[in-house]
This record gives sequence, structure tokens and C-alpha cells, in this order.
Amino acid sequence: MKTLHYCLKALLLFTIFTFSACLKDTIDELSAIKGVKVTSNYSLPIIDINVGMEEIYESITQNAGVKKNPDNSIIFTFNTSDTIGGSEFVAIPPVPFDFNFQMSPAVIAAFEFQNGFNLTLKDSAKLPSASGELLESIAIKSGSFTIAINNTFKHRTKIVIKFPGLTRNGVPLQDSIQMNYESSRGSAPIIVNRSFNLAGYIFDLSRNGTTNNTIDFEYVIGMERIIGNTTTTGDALALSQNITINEYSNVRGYLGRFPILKAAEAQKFEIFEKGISGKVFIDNPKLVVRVSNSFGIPITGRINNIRVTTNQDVDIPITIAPFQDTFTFNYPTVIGQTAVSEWVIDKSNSNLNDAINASPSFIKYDLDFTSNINNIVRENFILDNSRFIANIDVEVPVDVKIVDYEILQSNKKSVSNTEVDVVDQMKLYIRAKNGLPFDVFTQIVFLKDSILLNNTDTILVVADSLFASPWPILAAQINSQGNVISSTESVFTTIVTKKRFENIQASKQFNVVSRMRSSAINGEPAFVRIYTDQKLSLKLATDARLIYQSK
Amino acid sequence: MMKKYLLLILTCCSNMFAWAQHDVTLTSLRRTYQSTYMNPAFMPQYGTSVGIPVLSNIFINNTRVGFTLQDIIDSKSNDTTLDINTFASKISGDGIGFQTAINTDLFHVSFPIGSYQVSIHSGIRSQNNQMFGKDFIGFFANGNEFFRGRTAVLEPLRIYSLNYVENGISVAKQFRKLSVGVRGKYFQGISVTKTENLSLSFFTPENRFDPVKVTTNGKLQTSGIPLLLDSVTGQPRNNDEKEFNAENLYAFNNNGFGLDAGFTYKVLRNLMVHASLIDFGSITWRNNTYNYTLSGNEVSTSGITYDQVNDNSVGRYGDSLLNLLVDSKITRESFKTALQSRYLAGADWDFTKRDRLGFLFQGRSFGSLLTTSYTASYTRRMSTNWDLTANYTINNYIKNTVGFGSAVKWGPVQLYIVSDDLLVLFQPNLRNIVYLRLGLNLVFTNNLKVVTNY
Repeated sequence: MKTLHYCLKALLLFTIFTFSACLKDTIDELSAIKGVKVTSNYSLPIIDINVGMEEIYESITQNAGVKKNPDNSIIFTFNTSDTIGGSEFVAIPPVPFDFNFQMSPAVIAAFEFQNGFNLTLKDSAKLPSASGELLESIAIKSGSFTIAINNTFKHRTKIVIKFPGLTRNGVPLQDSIQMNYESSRGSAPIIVNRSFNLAGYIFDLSRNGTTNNTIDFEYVIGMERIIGNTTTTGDALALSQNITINEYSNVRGYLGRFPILKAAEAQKFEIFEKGISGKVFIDNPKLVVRVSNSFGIPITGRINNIRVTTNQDVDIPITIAPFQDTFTFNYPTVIGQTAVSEWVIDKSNSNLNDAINASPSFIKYDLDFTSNINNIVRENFILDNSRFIANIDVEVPVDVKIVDYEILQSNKKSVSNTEVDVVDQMKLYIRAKNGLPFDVFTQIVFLKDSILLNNTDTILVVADSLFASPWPILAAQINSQGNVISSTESVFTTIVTKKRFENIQASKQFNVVSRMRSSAINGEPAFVRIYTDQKLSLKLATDARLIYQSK
Repeated sequence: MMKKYLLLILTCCSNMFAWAQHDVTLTSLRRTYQSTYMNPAFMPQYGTSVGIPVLSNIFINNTRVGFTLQDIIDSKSNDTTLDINTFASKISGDGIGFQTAINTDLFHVSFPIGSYQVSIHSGIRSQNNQMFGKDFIGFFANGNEFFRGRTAVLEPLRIYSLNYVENGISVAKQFRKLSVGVRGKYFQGISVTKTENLSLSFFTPENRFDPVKVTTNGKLQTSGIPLLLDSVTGQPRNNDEKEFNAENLYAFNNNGFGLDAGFTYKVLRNLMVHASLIDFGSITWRNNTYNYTLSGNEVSTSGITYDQVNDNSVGRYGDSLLNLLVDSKITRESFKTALQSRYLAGADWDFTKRDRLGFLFQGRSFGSLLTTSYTASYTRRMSTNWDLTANYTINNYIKNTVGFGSAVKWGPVQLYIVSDDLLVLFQPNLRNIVYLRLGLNLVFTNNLKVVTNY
């Protein structure tokens, strides 16, 4: 038994020493680990884009549109629109008018003899006319009539104010004001201020069609003598009135001559803006000027100095036969109607064809539209919701021929180093199925800052490019009419090494350069037709080797 | 220095608990009350046993499967960097897993009533199993390139974390050669987190330009854990659901019942066979429950589309895949969790009055996973009140182990200590189990009539 106890103690000691030694070794081995490293190979599709010219076009322009013909062929449009609201014209100034009533000695004698009187006074005021307006009626949307009375007569006074031409639901505006003198006032005048909301009133300024700009009003003054109070020639009943029309629902009458629109316009052709070389030929582009007018007023227009401006800042004048001189817009004769005027400018009546085929970046023109230009008095009307809308569309039809037209798109990018560490290599697989009738030679160039020798200035230098040479996405096959008969597949594979990836990450700008050329007939770029169902399918997949190593 | 201590703890703990680890040594220390946890038909030598609160049963078990610390050491690509790819290639079995079990008894008392031995106990049980699938780790370590043209079906994570209070009353009776015992258990659930068939399928097309497809399936159930997502079936969560609330842990609305049953039979005077079924039961979780279900949600993508480029939503390419993982249907129904039942069968041969050879077969279920072990043990009664036992176990899921146990009694105080794998002391870098059970009992009445084995 004793031996067994010794053995057990020995075993215990052996165990402790062995455990300590083994444990220390293990801990030393594990504590030497300072980080982890993992190498992964991922294969993932990255991009799956399927676009037609419609999407491409809309993505590179902001004010562009696409119209589809019944055969699904596409017309590109550039649109500008100017809208003028009815409330912007015929500003009606406030109409102030005052009235002062005093008694002569004879009137005072008669007043004291009869102990009172009733007096009716009629008068009118004229609406100011800044532009020669001859207004017949105004439907008031918001406005007010204010009256301030200062009465020094020491008697009981009543005044009734009436505007026969200012009606709401056929009832003229009328108000009655009673002023009773009390001896406690002494010589202090009685002062009254009133304000009336004129919203909803119709102001007849024509006295039933016989005149214009006229505001008729009527006062009935009744005064009852307070016996014992004195009456002097200095006593007065003074009325200070003001009519203010802020907004109107409609105004009728001759509205005078005033400028409707006077502006210099510049319409950008973004599709050509980024072009750096080559040519785009468009067969018969159109300029469609369409004006919708619900102003009941004759308007005369003039478009001056129409020209396109190329990327090299060269102006090419456009001569348009219908706009050589002034022209008039249709206008409605019945309230609520809209009259439309439209002019189509093409190669038949202008040199627009030549101008657009210069691949301009802008079309510029000056607009000058004037109402009642000849000052012939006739009835006009404008509603507050009347609109004068001038739409000018440039329509680029489907038949185009592109000859080595090169586009440069510069894109700023943030300089990033965050993901660089993990990417060891990316093998990119690119496949394009081109159903569009254009070759597209694409290159993406990454640019980075480089410090000049003076150590202060920097210039952009090429850090890397995605392709060794521009990658050709070959055009779809076309028939002799320029219609696509089959799409073309192009594939490309490139390896982006860690070094290249670092260059790309460190770049601050990348330029996408695309050179396009129409599908060829007999070896030469041809006029081709673009349809909505012609698509470019672009797929990008990658086999990426990622190495993560903790620091 | 602190790092070394942490590593020491890691080294110990990572070896300390076993994936579905079996108690293979405790069974042999028949003179401890705790051996009846393995078979309620075991008749204790000491007629009366009282457990000192908490100290009577301290059980810590930590098991790691699928890798050893040596695998980590061998995966260093240089002296200082752990190469995850190398490590992933060394994973054996279905993946890497960790199990932590911590048990303690609040009290126990065992005493005879007539010819019956009656025991009552109450204790806290905590089992936490996490397993990361081998393919899942391999997939994310090595990438999907390896799976080109195939679907990688990945089980990303298996969790079984169960915390509850166990209250039991057992009755055992000796009928000449046969003894039988049963223990009824009443469980009070504290918290649970468990997954059920959680899987993620990732299809990598043969043609690089074709879409990859990701599909998720499975279920995650929790109780006592705050809501993990933003809404419950469309209803926005409130702050109460968002915050951890300790009251949820002891609300004791999660009730369950279980059963242990066993027998022993003396085939010969010195040969006894025994068998038992323990932890057969379940807990129904009703308090603060959440069921997250991923039912075949699929996301397919062949890359960033024109629309995504055009509306600056390129980030959605990744988001759509990530959202798949959180795009789950969430309900609040109650659910039931079965305990990890164990099955034991064995035989003891007392070849002297002091020496016993034993054999024990043990099985333990964890969902569809059944782990089994075969243990050969030798137990010697060193003196009147001192037992030593050692064993060798073959386990189908972890490395074979050498266990050791001892129970000593001084006066009424009985001290016992058990470890199921002593080799961790000599090979901490190769062993996966740290198993330690120790405790202090107060024992009275040496019931030699019952204990006739020695």
C-alpha cells in the first residue's frame, strides 16, 4: 500500500511537470501567431447590362427624349420649353381716390334751419393704364377695398357707400357707416377705418359696355343736427379710399402692347458635346417649334440669330424660311380654349441639315414675342391659368451614319486604398452581344496625379488602362437597307494584377473613350436605322483571387 | 503577459468540453450520489447523502471537435501567421464545433424510506453547442471557384444553447438481483437558442456570365433573447423587444418534464449489467419566444444591371445577397425543445473485493446526430473510504480518451473529482476535451447491505 502511495505521488508529480511543459510549448506556439491569412478564389458575375440606344442616349443626356415611330424606329429629341403664366401680365396698380365734404355758410344755415339733410353724391375714378390697356372687366381673385373716414361734424352722421360696377353674385358692393357725435369727444374727430375683401367680385369697368377703365361710386350722406352743437365751415367729412387688386381670375378688354417673351436660348446637344473627333451624319434632322397659347391676345414672334455652335466654338448660322421675318401665333377667341401653332423646320425650308451634321454642341437663338404689336384695339382676355408654352424640339431621326466618331467621358473618382490589400488578382471576362449597328471601340484610361519637377504643380498622367488597345465591340450585321439582321458577339479577357489594381485604385480620374462607326456596306460606314429592339448585351464576370492578411 | 493568460484559458477551456461529450468516468464512482445521475437504479453505498449547495456538484465540460490546437499550430504559414486555408483543410468531420456544459446543484438530498432510496435534487444546467460546417468554412476561406458548375450546400451554423433549472425526485428499489430506479424531472427553462436545418445553398454556374443563386433554409428559435431583427412579421419591434431584459430569464413560464429510468441486474454474484435512459424529456418555451424561418428564399444575380447603375443602387448587388440572410419570417409561437437524451448500458465484473472491471456503452443524440462511445474502466477500492477509477474510451466523434476519477471520504465529508480525459495534461495541443467534475457531499450511514460489490 505504501508503495502504491509513492507510485501515485510520483505519477502526480510527473503529471504536473509534463503538463506544465506541454502547456508552455503549446502556449508559446499559439502566442506566436500574430495574424491570419486567407486566400480565396471567387468567381462571380459582376455586370449584366442589356441596353438599347434609347437607354444609352438617355443616360448621357439630361434633356433628351426618345420618340418612337409606329415601326419602333427611334427618333432622338432635344427639347426646350418656355412657359409663361397669365398672371404675369396686366399688373393692375392700386386705385386711390379721396372725397371731402364741407358746408358753406349758406348750407350751414339751411342745415340748421332744417335740423339735418340727406345728400347723394356720384363720382367715378379712372384705373391707371400703363401700357395703354383699355380694361372692361376684372374678375378679382384676391384684393381689397379700404376706407378711412375723418369726421369733425358734431352731429349724427350716416354715410352709405356704393359701387354699382363692383358686384358679387349680381349684388353691388355697398356699406353703411353711422357716426354719432357725443359731447364728451369735445373737438376730437370721429375716425372710422373699414376694409372689405373683394375676392369673388367682378369689376365692370365699362359702365355696361360704354367705356373702360372706369370705377363708378356713390355716396349718400345723411346728417341729423344735434341742437346746441355748433357747425362751422371748417368742419369736414373726409373719406380716403383705395382699391387694390392683387390677383385676378380673368381680365378682359384691350390689354395693350407688352413683351410676352424676350430671351436668348441655348440648347445643349449632349450627345455631341463629348465628341472629340469624327463625324455623325444625320439624314434630315428637324426642328419642331410648337406653341400652345391660351392667351386671348394676338402675339407676334421673331426668332433672331439662330445658329449652332460646334465644340470648337464655331457658329454656323441657320437660315429658316418661315422665321425670316415676324410670324404670328394662333390665339383663342373663347375663354378656356387653347390654340396651337406649329412649324417644322427641316432641310426643305432651312439649312438645318448642314448645321446638325457639323455635330454641334449647342443650338442658340433669341426669342422676342410681343402682344398687340400693331396696337389695334380689340377685345383680349387673359385668365390666371392661361399659358403660353413654347416647345422647341430638335428631332434626330433614325437614319444616321457615324464615321469614327469618338466620345470622351471624363469621370472623377475617389482615391481609395481600402480594398487594395485583399485583391491579389482579378481575371476579367467581358462578353458583348451587339445588336446595334455600330462598332464601338472602347478604352478606359485611369489617370493619376504626378508632381512636376517644381514640386508644387501636378499633372494627370496615365496610371493604367483597362485594355491594351481599344476593345472592339463589333457592330451588328446589317442588310443593304441599313437594318440589323444579326447581332455580333465579342469577347475579351484581361488580367488585372495586384499592381494594376493598385494603380486603378490610386487613380483620381478615369476617361472612357469610345469610338463609334456605323455598320459597313461594301466596307464603308453606312446610314443605319435604329430600332427599340436593338440591344447591346454587356456582361462582365471575374475570377478574383483575394488574399487577406491581418496586420 | 495577459495574452498568455488568455491563451492558457483558451487552451484549457477549448479542451474542456466535448461535443456531445459523454460522462464516462462518473458512472464508475458508485459511492458518490452523483453517479445516480447516470442511472437512477444505482443504489448508493451511503444511505444518506446531502449536497452542499453549489459545491456538491461543479461540472465544467468544454469540448472542441473538428480541429486541435496542433492543427492551428501546423497551419502557420510562417512563424507568425495563421493560414486559414491550411486550417480549413485540416478540419475533420462535419466542421468545427464547441460545446460548453456547466452544471451545478443547488442542493440534493438522498435518504432511504423503508426499502426505497429516495432522492431529491435541484440544479442549474447549461449546455451550449455551436458548430460551423466544414463546407461553410471552406467555402468562405477558399471561395466559390472550387464549386464551379455545382451547388454548394452549406450548413453555416448549428446552435443548441440551452439553460434551465432541473428539479428531480427519484426512487430506487432493490429486488434481490434486480434494482430499478426512476427519476421524474421538472424543468424550468431560462433561455434557449437553437437552429434547425439552417442551410445556405450557393450555385456557381459553369458559365461565368450566368447567374449565381443563393438559397437559404432553416429555422432559428430563441427564448429569453431579444429580437434580432427589425420587425416581427411586418410589425415594427418596440424597444422592450429590442433590449435585453433579465426578467425574461427567470419568468419561469417555460416548463418541461423529463424522465430518467434504469436498472441493474446481477447476472452472477460478481457480474452486474446495467442500463439506463436519461434526460428523456423536453421543455416548452413560451416566454419571449421568436421563431425565425428562412423558407427557401432565393436570390439570383448575374451582376449589376443597367437599372442599378442608372439609379445609383449598385450597392444593392451585395445587399440583395445579405438581405437574404435576414429576410426571414418571424413568429412568436411557443416551441418545444427536446433534451439531449442519453442511453447507457454496461456491465461490471468484480474480480476481487477491491477491483472491478467495467464496460460501458453510451449514446447521445443531438438532433439527427448520434454520438456513441465505448468505455473500458478499472476501479479499485484503495481503502475503506477511497475509490480510484481509470478508463479508456473510444468515441466516434472525438478522439479517444483516458479518464480518471477519485472519491474520498473523511468523516461525513466526501470529496470527489472526475476528469474524462487526462491526456489533455500531456497533450494539450492534441486533445479536445477538458472535463472536470468535482464536489463535496455530506454522507452518512454506510449501507453495506446494498453495496455488495466490494
